[in-house]
Amino acid sequence: MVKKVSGLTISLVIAVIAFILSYIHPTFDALAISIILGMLFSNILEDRNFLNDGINIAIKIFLPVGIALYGTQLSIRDIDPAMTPLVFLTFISMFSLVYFIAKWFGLRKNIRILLATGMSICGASAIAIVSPLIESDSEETSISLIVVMIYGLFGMIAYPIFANFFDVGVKEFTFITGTTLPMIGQIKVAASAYGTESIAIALKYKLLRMSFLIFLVTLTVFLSRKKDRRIYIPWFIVVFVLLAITVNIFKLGWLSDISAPISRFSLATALAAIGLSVDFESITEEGIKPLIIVVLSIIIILTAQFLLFYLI
Amino acid sequence: MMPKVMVIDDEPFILMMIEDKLRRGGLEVVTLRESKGAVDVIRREMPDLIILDWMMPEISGINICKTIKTDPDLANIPVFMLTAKGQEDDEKLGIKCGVDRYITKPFSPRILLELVLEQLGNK
Amino acid sequence: MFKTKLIYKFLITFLIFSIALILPLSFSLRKDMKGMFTNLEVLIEKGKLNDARAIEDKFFKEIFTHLMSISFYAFFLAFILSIFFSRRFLKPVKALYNGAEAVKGGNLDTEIPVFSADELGEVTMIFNEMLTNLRAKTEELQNKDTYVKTMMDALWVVDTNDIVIDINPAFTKIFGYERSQVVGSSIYDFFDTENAMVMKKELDLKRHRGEHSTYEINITAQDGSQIPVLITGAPIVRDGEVVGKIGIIKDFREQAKLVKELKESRDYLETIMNSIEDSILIINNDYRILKANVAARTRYGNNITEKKCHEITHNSSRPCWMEGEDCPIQGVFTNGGTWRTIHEHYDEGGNKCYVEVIASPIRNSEGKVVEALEIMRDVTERVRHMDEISRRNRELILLNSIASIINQSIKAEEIFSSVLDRLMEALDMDGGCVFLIDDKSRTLRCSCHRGVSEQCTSTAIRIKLGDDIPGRVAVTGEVMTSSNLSSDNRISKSLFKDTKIKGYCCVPVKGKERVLGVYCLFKFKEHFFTIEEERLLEAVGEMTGLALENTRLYDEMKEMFEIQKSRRLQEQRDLLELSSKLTSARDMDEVIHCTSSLIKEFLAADAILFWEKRDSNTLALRYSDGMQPQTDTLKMDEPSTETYAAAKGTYINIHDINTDARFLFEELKSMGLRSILSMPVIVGENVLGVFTAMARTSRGYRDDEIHFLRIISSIFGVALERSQLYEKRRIDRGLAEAILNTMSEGVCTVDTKGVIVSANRSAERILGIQANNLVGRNYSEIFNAPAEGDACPIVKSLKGEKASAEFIQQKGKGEVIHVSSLPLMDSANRICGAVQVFRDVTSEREIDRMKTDIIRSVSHEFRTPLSAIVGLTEMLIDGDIESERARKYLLTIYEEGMRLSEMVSELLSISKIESGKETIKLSNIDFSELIESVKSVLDAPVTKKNISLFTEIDTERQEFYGDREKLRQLLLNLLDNAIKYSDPGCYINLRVRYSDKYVILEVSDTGWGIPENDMANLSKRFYRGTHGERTKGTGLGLALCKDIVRIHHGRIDIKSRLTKGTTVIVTLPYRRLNDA
Repeated sequence: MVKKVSGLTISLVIAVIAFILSYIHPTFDALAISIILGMLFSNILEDRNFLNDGINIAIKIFLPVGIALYGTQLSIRDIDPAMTPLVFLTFISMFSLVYFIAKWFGLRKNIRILLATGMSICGASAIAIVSPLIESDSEETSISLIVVMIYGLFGMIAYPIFANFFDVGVKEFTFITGTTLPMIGQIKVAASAYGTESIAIALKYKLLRMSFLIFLVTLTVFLSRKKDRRIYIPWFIVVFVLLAITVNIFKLGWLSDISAPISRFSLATALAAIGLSVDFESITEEGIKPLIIVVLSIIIILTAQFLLFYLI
Repeated sequence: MMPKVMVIDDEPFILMMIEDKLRRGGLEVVTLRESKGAVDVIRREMPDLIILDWMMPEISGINICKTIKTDPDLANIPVFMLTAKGQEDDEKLGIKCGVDRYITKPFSPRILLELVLEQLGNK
Repeated sequence: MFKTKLIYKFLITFLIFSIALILPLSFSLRKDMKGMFTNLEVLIEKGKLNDARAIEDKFFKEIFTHLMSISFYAFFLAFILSIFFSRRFLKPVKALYNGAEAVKGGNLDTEIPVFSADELGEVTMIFNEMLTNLRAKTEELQNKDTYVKTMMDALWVVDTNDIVIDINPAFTKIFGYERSQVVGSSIYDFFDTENAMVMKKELDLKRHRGEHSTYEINITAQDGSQIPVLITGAPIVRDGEVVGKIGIIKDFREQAKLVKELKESRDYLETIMNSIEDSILIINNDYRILKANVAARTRYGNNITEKKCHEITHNSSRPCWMEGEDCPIQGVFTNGGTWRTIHEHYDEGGNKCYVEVIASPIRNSEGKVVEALEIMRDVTERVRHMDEISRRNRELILLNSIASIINQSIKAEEIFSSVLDRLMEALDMDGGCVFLIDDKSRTLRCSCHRGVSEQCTSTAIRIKLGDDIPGRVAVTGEVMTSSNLSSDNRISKSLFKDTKIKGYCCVPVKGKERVLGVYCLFKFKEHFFTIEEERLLEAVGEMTGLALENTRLYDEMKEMFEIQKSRRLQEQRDLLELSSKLTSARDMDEVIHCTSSLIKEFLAADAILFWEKRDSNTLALRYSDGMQPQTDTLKMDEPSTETYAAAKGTYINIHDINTDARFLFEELKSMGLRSILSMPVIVGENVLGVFTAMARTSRGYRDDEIHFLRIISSIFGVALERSQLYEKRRIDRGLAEAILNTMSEGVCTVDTKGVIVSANRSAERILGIQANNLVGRNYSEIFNAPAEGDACPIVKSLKGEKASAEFIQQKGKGEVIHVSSLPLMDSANRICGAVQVFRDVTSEREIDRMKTDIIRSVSHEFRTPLSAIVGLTEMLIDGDIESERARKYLLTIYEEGMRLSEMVSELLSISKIESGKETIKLSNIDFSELIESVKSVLDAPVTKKNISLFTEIDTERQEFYGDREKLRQLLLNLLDNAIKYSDPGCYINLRVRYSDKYVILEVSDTGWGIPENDMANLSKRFYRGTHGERTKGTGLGLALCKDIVRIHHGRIDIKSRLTKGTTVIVTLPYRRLNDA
């Protein structure tokens, strides 16, 4: 009992800290903070086996809850229908680029999927949602998350500078920011350079991207299917899809607002738990490869986008 | 009720002799001339004592004895082995197979009766 | 090419960090600040921010917000960089760690990959190098360990307190102690007290000085045996201080065994040498005796070793070859090979003796002759015998030639000169002369001479009787000899004294009654005339005398001579023939026969006997002709002419036994014999036998007859003696062999190693192996393990016990052979081998087995009928049984009694046939008559059971010989079986057929048939099968049938189908009457 409680408690405590920290600044993503805190904490313990039971409980409870409720976050409100195909194109090319470059680099399938997901959708939360579907282990989850995170942060700082440098237009900048930066907070910060208008539009792109999560989730389920195994759709994905549809059809914005913190907190707890179970040693296994992959793919995408815009 | 003794031997005069003697001693006697199916008869009759010949065609007396002694229903029925095999080794084998008393031919019917009564009395 | 250091790595990490941070930061800051200032200016312009403090607040707030995101980025960057770079450090460290773990776990085969060229890489390389060194060290150690482990010699390591620290596996192998038993115990635990003391002393002396040492000692093995070892000890020195000792223990058993074997073989050799009766000397090339056996020491004295051989044997200070002898030792040393010669030696008493010396070389490993083995056999006896024989031969030849001279001539001068020549030649004389007595002048006149000068003869041409030596001899009639005339003090004065004559003899020439003359022989050297020579000379004198007389009397006795001429001639011829026969003949019986016939014919006797002297007290009849005396042996104390003649050494002649009272002649009288002559056969002093001639007429024998007889007997005597010598030698040799080979038991001798030394003919026969294949092989190749008894009797008897066991021949028909073995002891009561006696006991064992077989079946099978008889009788005696029941009881008793009696008789028949005691009595069998006889017996049961019994006999019959009684029994049993095992009303058919080779009897019935599972057991004794319950019987009938058919060499076949019937077919071959 003590064991179960200790792991669960620590996960919760870390989640609370991360949650609080996330309010300091928009870039402070609760999910990333909690997984890193979890990792840092567990790796200074001499023996962390006593946490295992609690960690498992935390993952079992909070991950599905967080994913299910995350469904409410997917709203396709106020979307310029004209932009949708372009966003989708970006998303698809991003996903496949990362996936195949990673494959070229010889990474494992799970990391490939997670990296691609994180890059193309929405960072931490997308990774958190997809990870149980492909049954990735905590190391894979955390490495993907960290890589996506570092890229997002770098992009957040670098995009405005480059935009300034290349003299990118507002519209283009907003598009690039909204479609390539992984996290909402980062988009906000990056886009703020071009004013609040830009932020709003970038967020719209972002939300559109997020809605592709439904598509991606189904795709992932098929992608990760192992041989001779029936397609298995966990309940929380069903709930997730249902909630997403419900919220968008019935325009239940209030539900989104209420469930957003709960969802994020739950995911933060789950990721804290995942972080707790990570061993640094095994994270280093893949080395710096994921980062290179991400950088490479982003350069290609960005170039493509720039070219696209210049040509248009 | 009179105690029931079952005699199994392939020689008719031996059967006759033992039957007469035991009847006179006030015992109920069931005789059987062939060893085949003897165990079934024993199960049916449930005698208080069995006198067996060793050398019989079909099934030898020692095999019948083994069957009786390994059957939990019949194991406590005393078995007398009546045989012409007089060698010490044979007797040892008999005792090993659970024979309660080993009598070699030729034998005295009187003593046989005494032994039977003694055995039944003990019981 | 480049050498990295960790510091560069750190530097790069921080550089990446700072560049990745500062570059965007500075740009971002520049841009932000610009924006902020613009914002501020706008705000200030708008007047919203008028207060400097507020401006400041707002400014810093903006800055903070920017820095916040940057810091978060910095944090993540730091985090990820530290993770990735730590990996670069951790990887080699981890590899090192794993390597160290592996080494700790004992795995030295790890090679740690070098990831970088920095300090960690160096450490790794050093580590790898270290590992390689360690591996090499360990390997070396392991190799050393392997050497130690695979060493054949045991090894122990001992500390300063003599406590064993370690041993190698060879130690365990040799001494049987496990390592755990040895380690920790003191080394003295492995020695007995005596050895421990020696060891302690050695160790105290040497170890503390740190010296190497080697000593031979015995170690007690675990099984308690003392194992001789050679321990080579070496101190273990560490830092200049002795800390222990290593002992290498060499198993010396082999050496010890070799030494022992050497000693044993030496002893064995000694024993052999000592057990040889001949003297054996081992002599080196300095003629020094190195070794002598007991026989030699007995003969030549105990302390002969180290002396020179010629000192011992020749009493000479020089080697014998220097004395002109043929020295075999010299021969061996100069030429090699085996040399054999006969030497004259002198024994302890200085007596001359003849020794056969055989010398063989003893070579060293290079083949060089180093010593000579000399075997000396005392052959004095043999030489003497040989001498004797040759001398006798010579004498015979001489006598023969003289006899032939005499025979050829009647002229005295011619005879004398020839005889003189022969004698001179035979006796190696330088000269001689013959004097004849002139009766008128009473002088001796020289009639012929040799080797004397004319002048001498002219003076000595006449010698008066009684004068000088010849004169004296002529008077006395005695032979006179002198070895050295000149120094002979018996002769004071003689013509011959001054003629340089030294060896001299003078022999009378004796006529029938008087001396007719003398002849002398002389030699210019000394010559000792032996008794034999004297006797020979005397015989020659007599012979010549006789011849002289004959010539003298030639004229006056012409008529008589005419009458006797043929006889005399015959006599001479016989004598000649006899002597030539005797010279050549070896078969004594033939010699005796010839001689006896000659004597019988010569004396015209009716009967002749020859008694041979067996021993000092007995005469045995060797030859008889004309009569057969009642006894064939005579004791010397029995009065008879033969014993008289043998005892006195002279002949005895009784003219008429009826008038003689000295001897009992009842037997002879009854045969009608009247005269008797017994003539002893004398050689030298010994009487060898007696000839007895008997005649039916009274007669006295003439002197010449006696004389002739004496000559014959002396010639015969010589031949007899010679023949006896031959005979004795032959018998001695053949006797032992003859006994062995005529024994029915096999006898075989083995030596101490079990090698077969000899085997007689019966052993060959019993073992089925030729003697030449047996001798020289080890017994274990011939005999397999005994059938009974725990060990081979030979092994036991070689240990000195009597033992016996039975073997089963594997090569032959599995005969059982009983072997009893006895140890053979030599003169010193040591075992020198074993003698085995074999007996083939196969048939005895077979009969034994059959007996027990029958007894076992009988005792078992008789119990059942006996139960009825005993039990029912007892019940009848106990009484109280109604008469009906009692009758039934009695009937059962009767029937069982009959069964018992039937069993007994059938069993008897079987056992008779099987034991082979029952012989088959053949007669011509008329089967129709036989069947009628059988049918009459079976009439009662046949009618009782209403059985139809048909018989069918071939009309063309042939003569068949068989045992009627047994065939009747056979048919009776077969028909009885057919009747017994059938239902009433069935059919039985008996058919007799005569084919070319066989008579076939076929009994078929329509009875119950025989169940298949009984078929195999049909002819077993007492086996009664499934139908046995329904009928009375003994179970012996068919067994008996089978035996009967078997002794008729026939076969019996049984075909049967259950419920359909049985057919028995007996096939008997024809046989002739004399087949049995």
